[in-house]
Amino acid sequence: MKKILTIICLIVWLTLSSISIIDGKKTNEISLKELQLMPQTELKTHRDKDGEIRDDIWIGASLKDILVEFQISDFDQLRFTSEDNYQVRLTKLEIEEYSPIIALNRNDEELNEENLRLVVPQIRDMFWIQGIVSVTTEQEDVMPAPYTLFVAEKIIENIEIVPDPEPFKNMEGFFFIDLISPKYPNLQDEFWLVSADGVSHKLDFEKYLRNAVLIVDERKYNLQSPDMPGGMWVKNLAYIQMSDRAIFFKDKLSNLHNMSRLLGWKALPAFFIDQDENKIDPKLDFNEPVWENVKKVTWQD
Amino acid sequence: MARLISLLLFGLFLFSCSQSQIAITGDIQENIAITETGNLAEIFESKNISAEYILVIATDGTAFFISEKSISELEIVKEKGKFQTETTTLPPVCNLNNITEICVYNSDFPMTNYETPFSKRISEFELLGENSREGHFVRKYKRDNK
Repeated sequence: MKKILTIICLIVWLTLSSISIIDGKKTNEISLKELQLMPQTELKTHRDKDGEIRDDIWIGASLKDILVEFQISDFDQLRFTSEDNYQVRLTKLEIEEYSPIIALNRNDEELNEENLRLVVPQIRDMFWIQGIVSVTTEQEDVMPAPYTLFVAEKIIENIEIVPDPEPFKNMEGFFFIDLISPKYPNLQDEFWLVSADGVSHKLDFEKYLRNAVLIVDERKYNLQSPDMPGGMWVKNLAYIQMSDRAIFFKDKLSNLHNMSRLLGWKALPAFFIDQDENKIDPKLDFNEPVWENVKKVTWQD
Repeated sequence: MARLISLLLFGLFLFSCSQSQIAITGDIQENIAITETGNLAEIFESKNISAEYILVIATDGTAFFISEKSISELEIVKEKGKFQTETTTLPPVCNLNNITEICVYNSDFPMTNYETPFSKRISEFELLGENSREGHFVRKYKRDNK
């Protein structure tokens, strides 16, 4: 009996102290020991954290080597998930160009299993996820430019802004579900959220967004969720899309033309049509009178 | 026993309906059926049916989901007494045989507990995949029998 318990504990410990590499239906585990045995790569980083300069030397296993080890090549992007449900994604191109590592050592100090960290010097450190528990291959999402775009401020006119929306205190806002449910036929999916400064996340509704709240702070809408680590909260939300339908905050963007640049649309129509069949030039600024009563626009090919 | 007979009769009714008409369900005031063939957008217009999205469902539980702009790309065809959808512009999943139901979504339809009849119906299906072609966004579903 003692032996069985020891084996179970060992299996649990091994599972907890390894990273799951999930490629389709196949899952492999890679332990700290195995990562240490792989060829080690050194990276130097220079960061300015709120005025404090941080220079670090990181040593770890190359992500490319890990993918070769498990013969993983058929993917468009990788999704990294941490113990506390933080998520970041790297595209195949980013992996090929930036050669990221899973760092095992920082400035001559060994990192423990819980602190193994993705390091990609070329991108902002908010994407250097710590405590990685899984790396999952993904094919590129189909996220076409939207056909219908709703003006968020017009939907919000019908939503009651309440003090202390659960579970947050000393702030006011409303529930994310109240903003999206009137406009989406099915919420069981991933929503693409983009902030005014272009930071974007694709988040599963059930896992992250069902209990999310939009905190209203000086004309900014900050998305917070009790089901998301604070680092993933989206400050100054500007755009939401699922399938071919989007909700955008006029206040955060200047016009549809600039919005299309922020979102990387490949093309833009000559005009959009509003709910009253009026034509709208995409270069017309949102503060022009014609936009005042617009609730939604549709893309005209 | 009476319950069993009612169920059998209801099943028989659905079966007979499936052979001769397509039920229009979801976010509409009352469920209706169509028996016409031709362009789906035109059939909807003639029947005063509005839809921002539709879920087209076949007898075997296969379904596809498209938005308003793609409805005019679908032709309803009747062959050997069974309805099917045909298209040359939308992804191949939209060529579906033995269709018996089209469930429609309208965002102005009243919600109960964040749900409309459409969202309840689509939640019975499992998403199998999505595709995009010439600006048309399509999702394939299968009835979830779990």
